[in-house]
Amino acid sequence: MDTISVLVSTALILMIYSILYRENPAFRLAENILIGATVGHSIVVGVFQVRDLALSKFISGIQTGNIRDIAYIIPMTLGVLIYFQFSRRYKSISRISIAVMLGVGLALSTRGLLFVNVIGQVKGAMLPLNNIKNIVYTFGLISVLTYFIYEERASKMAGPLPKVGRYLLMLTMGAYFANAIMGRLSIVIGTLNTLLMSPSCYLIPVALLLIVADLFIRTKVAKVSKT
Amino acid sequence: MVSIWRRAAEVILFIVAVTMLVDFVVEMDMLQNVATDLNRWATIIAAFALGLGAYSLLTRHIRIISRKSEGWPYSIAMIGTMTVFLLTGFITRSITSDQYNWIYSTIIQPISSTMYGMNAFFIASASYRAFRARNWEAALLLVAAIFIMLKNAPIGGVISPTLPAIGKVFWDLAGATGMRGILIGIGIGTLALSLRIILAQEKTPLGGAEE
Amino acid sequence: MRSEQKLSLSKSLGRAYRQIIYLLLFISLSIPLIKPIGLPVPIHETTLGVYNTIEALEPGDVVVMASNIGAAIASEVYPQYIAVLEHVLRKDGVKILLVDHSTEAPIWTEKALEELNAYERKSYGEDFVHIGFIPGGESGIAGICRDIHSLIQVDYHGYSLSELPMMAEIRDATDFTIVIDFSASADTQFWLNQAYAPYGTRVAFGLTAVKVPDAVAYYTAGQIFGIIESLKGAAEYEILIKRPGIAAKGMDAQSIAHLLYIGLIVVGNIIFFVSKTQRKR
Repeated sequence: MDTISVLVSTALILMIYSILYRENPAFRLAENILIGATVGHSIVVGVFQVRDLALSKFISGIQTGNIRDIAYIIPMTLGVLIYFQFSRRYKSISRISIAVMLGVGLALSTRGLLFVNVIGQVKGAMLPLNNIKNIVYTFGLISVLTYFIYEERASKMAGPLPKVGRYLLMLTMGAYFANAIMGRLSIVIGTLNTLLMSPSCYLIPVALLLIVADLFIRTKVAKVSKT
Repeated sequence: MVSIWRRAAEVILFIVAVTMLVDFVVEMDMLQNVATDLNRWATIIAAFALGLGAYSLLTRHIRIISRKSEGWPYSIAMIGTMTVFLLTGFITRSITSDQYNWIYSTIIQPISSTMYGMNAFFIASASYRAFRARNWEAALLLVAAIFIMLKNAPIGGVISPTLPAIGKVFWDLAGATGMRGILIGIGIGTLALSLRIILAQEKTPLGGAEE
Repeated sequence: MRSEQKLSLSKSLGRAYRQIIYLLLFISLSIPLIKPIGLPVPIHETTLGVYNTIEALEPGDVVVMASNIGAAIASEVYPQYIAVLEHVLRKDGVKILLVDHSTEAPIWTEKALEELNAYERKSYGEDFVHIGFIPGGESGIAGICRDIHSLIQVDYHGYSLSELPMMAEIRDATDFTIVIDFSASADTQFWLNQAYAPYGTRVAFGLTAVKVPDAVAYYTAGQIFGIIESLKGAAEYEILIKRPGIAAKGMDAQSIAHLLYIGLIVVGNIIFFVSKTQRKR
């Protein structure tokens, strides 16, 4: 990466980190730049996808007379119709496009979830009850599912199962929390790796000076307004 | 009175979903072709849908700029950056060009990862201020989290091999019980919801209770 | 006057506790990055699962490296991607199919290929192909698994798939030997749903730390053959392939920061219980 790119990206990183000091215009500017950049990138990618996946096939279909390729006019039309979402009067038309996407998505996820999440996991849970570990895991899973489905409404026959399930879920939340910390730290480490390299590191004292100056000015202003 | 478009959408959703589901169990060439085409069409419509958020954002920020509402200079910065990306992408006709790579790695890459990493700081201050073992369940959560953190970080094993070992016991127990239970719950819940949507019993995905 | 000044100092510190904690976190992460400690990194079973499977690959096997890497998750997942890609590139005769299912991923895939000199070391079109971004999420992945040639005609560089020798033998998921998905979100489900469930293709994940707990259930059920867990997994993989990089360097910083978090939780709770006891009295 060339020097200008490094310096610009470092400045943007420090502008974002400035929120840790306090809310300020530099952070808001960087935030809005990110929103604009992300949206612009999505549009560019979307347009190229339509060009490569549909438009080129439709044009070749017209040239060769292939019906299946000419039929690509349908998804292109449906894609345009989805923008009727923003019209108060003709909003309902966009539902057709949503219906196609939703229908495909639901069918794909249904068949996948059934085999992976339900059948696959239940199969994996069918452990031979020939040692303490397997007995604990099986009893634990039943407790968790009992708590999930019935919560506090479980009958007295369920005994301690829902309560045990709740405790096991707390344990699981602890695992999620520990991993969330590890994940976020990894991201900060990646950013700091960039910041601590030359020439990025030379901007850090500049940022610190600006913060100290701001602190000094605000303290002075507070003192003057008190007197 | 339900609009004709809404009814048509419900019928289309049903036909599309059932076609794809039947294709999964029945081996028939014609059905497989139809399912493959439907799949591709959904992919293309999704590519169009990438612009939906952009349209909504643009109209809102143009309104802010024209009325000079609070924060309007930031809206100019937002639209300006978006324009730079659009122009670079369309002029170079590719996202693989050097120029597009330059603006992507200079702008999106650093800000995006920094934003995501901010949570680390907020979790740190919450760890001190908010994470209290007010009852046994909260205490269990915190104790499990501490031991699993010592399993995750190499320092745990350096302090004592027992610490990551205890963390592993908690991790394996959570994995075999809680995490598995959550996945099964998600699977059953999503299947039930999918069935309701396919059979038009769930109104929200196709416009809710508007009609 | 002095006691008022002292009081206001402690009050100010109390109000600024957040900034003090942020500064402590910065310091705890920066110092080990500038001056590494060199703590040993233990190798976990889930990472070994991926490593051993790739080691056992034979010439002609097809590895699909699916990427959902974006700028937000790159710090965690990109080091994993680089390490695994390097390992696969070292395997002679193994074909690599690089697929992206996010808008930003193609840029990261190309970055990785350039960083590892893949274009010089291997022959593009014969040893590896970069398909590029497939939109549509799960429906796009389903399309690849069903019939890749009917969904995609050109690769990321604009070459026709029919012109690429490697693609002549790869039509659908039955031709994939393994799939390794580098992702952060619910997208990980997609390859399980569309490649593993219908076709029995073996799948592994390279994940952000937040998604790992979900994946553990798949691993213990035997549905995936390995997980590379966040930066830690990347560090382990770098050590396994004897190519320590950015991930291995970051583990020291992880360790110190983890100790800081544990300290904050413990101190915060001690203060809470002490003040609770004092209030009861």
